[in-house]
Amino acid sequence: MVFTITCNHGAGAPPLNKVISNEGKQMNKVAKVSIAAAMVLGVVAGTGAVAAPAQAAQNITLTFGDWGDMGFKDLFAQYHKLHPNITIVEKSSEYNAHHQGLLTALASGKGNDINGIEGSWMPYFVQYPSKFLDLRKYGGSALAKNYLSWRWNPAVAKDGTILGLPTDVGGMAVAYRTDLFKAAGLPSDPAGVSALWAKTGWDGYVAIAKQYTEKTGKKFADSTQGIFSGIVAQNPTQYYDNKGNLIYASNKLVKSAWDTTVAIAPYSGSAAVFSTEWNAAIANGDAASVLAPAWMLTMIKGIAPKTAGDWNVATVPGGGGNWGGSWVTVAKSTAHPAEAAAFVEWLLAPAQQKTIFLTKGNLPSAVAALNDPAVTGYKDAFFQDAPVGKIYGSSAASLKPAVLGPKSASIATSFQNAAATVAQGKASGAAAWSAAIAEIQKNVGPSK
Amino acid sequence: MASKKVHVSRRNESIAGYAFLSPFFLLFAAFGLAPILFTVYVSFFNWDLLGTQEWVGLANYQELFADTRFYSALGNTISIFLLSSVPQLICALLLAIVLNSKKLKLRTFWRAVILFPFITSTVAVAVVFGAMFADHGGMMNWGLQLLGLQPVMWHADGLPGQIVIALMVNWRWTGYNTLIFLAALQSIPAELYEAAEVDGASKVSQFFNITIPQIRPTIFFTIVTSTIGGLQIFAEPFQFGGGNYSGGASGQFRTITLFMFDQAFGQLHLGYSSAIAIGLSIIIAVVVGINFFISNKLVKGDK
Repeated sequence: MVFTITCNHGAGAPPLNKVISNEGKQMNKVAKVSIAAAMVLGVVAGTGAVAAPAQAAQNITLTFGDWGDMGFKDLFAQYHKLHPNITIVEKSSEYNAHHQGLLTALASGKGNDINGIEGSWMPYFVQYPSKFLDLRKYGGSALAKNYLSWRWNPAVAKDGTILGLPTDVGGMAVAYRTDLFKAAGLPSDPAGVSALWAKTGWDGYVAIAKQYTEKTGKKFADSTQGIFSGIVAQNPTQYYDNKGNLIYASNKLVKSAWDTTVAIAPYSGSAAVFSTEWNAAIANGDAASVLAPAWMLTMIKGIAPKTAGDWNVATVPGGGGNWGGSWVTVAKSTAHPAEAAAFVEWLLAPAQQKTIFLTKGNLPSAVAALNDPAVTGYKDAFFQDAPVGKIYGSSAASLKPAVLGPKSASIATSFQNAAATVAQGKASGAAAWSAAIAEIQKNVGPSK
Repeated sequence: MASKKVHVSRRNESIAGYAFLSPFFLLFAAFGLAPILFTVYVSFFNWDLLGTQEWVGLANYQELFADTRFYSALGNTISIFLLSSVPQLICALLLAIVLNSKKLKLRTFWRAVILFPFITSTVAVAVVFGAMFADHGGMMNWGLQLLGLQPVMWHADGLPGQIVIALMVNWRWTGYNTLIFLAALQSIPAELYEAAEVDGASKVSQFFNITIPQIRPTIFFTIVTSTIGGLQIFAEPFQFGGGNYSGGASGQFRTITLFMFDQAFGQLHLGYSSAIAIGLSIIIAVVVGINFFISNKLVKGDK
């Protein structure tokens, strides 16, 4: 009996195991059962009995392509314990290199079995569903209800193919240094800081930034690029309208995000987010505040471990938005479609998303995990016990983020570069805007 | 009969000859020629890699000639190339002469040490240089401010950024070229210097009248290789720009290869990117041709 369970998983029986995906306690039971099975198998194999060849035939290695730290490492090992015949091998590279490698791999029909795809790349890949395993064939349709619909839908192709399951949500807040705020004579408790711009929105934020920089001589915000990305992410439309037409130059919301960014530029760092210099600025306290989706908190912990306890988290000016978030997909070329689909389903099930949030800080996109008391009640010691579960979780459900298009990332990069030239004092706001529009027009074509 | 036999054996010989040569030609065809031809082919299409190829004829080339970004990237590339190759080759030659000197102690040690930068990963070099030349809080600006000077915005300004990139290239490649020069220096017969000593020629005069003419082919070789390398510079500006293909916020150190790569994998314009690649290879061919012409003239002028 025990033996059969393991066999079924390994042999690729329909992988939709509700037991595993929904209920943590039962999952433990399955884990124990599988471990027991493994032990039995081990003993049997050791004595050279009949079961050995059957087991050998089922041993499967799945390669998993990702970038940086998507937070999955421990779960790979855990899955191997649950399913001793399946080994997940992580192929990690840098963000750009990963997505470019994926492009060429899909074009040539070779490569990793499973791949992470970041939010800004998904609108491009979703145009080519034939390169991916359609998760509908493996019970994917039934999973839709488990996730926030706006995180689910972008990975569904026009023909209905489900390319992948969503990882995390990049709901937004402001992470700030309480010591620096205090030294500048600003309120430092989250309620007080949130109140600074609760009514005035981004104008209020700009005023505080000005006040801070004039008093201390230091920058208030980390990066104009981050600010611009964040404000754009709050808008119901960005560079595409709902029909897929380019509106980057004519959309008043984009221009307004730009104008706010230009207003903040004198009080903001100019280095690109994630660059060496940006890392140094965060670690050295050269920026008093960072526009922070949930995953940004994880970044801050990684690059500035010595600042533990110096930070807190306040609400973001201008209302909720989503910046970032990824999907996990299975390539059409995989030799083990059923096993790969089963693994992806398990990996992004609410129980695992909860684990990722509690250990890594990435906010779940699975509704059950978002509403889990352990998530909503989670406080982060690094951020002075800020109730990050509540801050991020409460906004995630009500978000209606904008539709992204295949060229959204390229357009954003041009605007962000232009914003940096303003912060560097190299160009006026108007000149940088024209330069950005000209560059974008060359790269993606004219705006409507 | 006899003549036919000879003919056959000659033919066999030539077949054997080609057979022995074939590994090179096969590898070159697979990894050299085929990609080049495919690049030419792709340059006539619009293609985003996963989608279908759409024939556009010469439109990509028309776009390239009209694209100001191409010319600014070309200017940046040549500027970085000159900032790196010229001081680099002069330094390498001088270092080689020092390393070749019989008075130098621990010669083997120094010869090994000089190659260390070459085996260091470019990314590691770029990270260290990026931190040293950070706009805010970098070691260089700290030093400048100690001396009472204005800090330099290495990442934001055009020329300073290009100088840092050239420094990275020089740091990496000077040792390599030094060893090539050293090998050439060692092949110069000692009699020439001895004869010059007897005739009372100064060290400087020996350098210009013996050393330089004797190693001219090597100088030509290093100039050609550093031209080809210098015009394709990619990793340093890419890393210095924070892993961004834009080559600085206003493209102030965007090189042609960076522009090409951005169009390929940032914008997914594989056709346009291929046209840039063809443009770059033509430019390199022209520059190498000019090098060749000048060096040839110099050699002939000498005789």
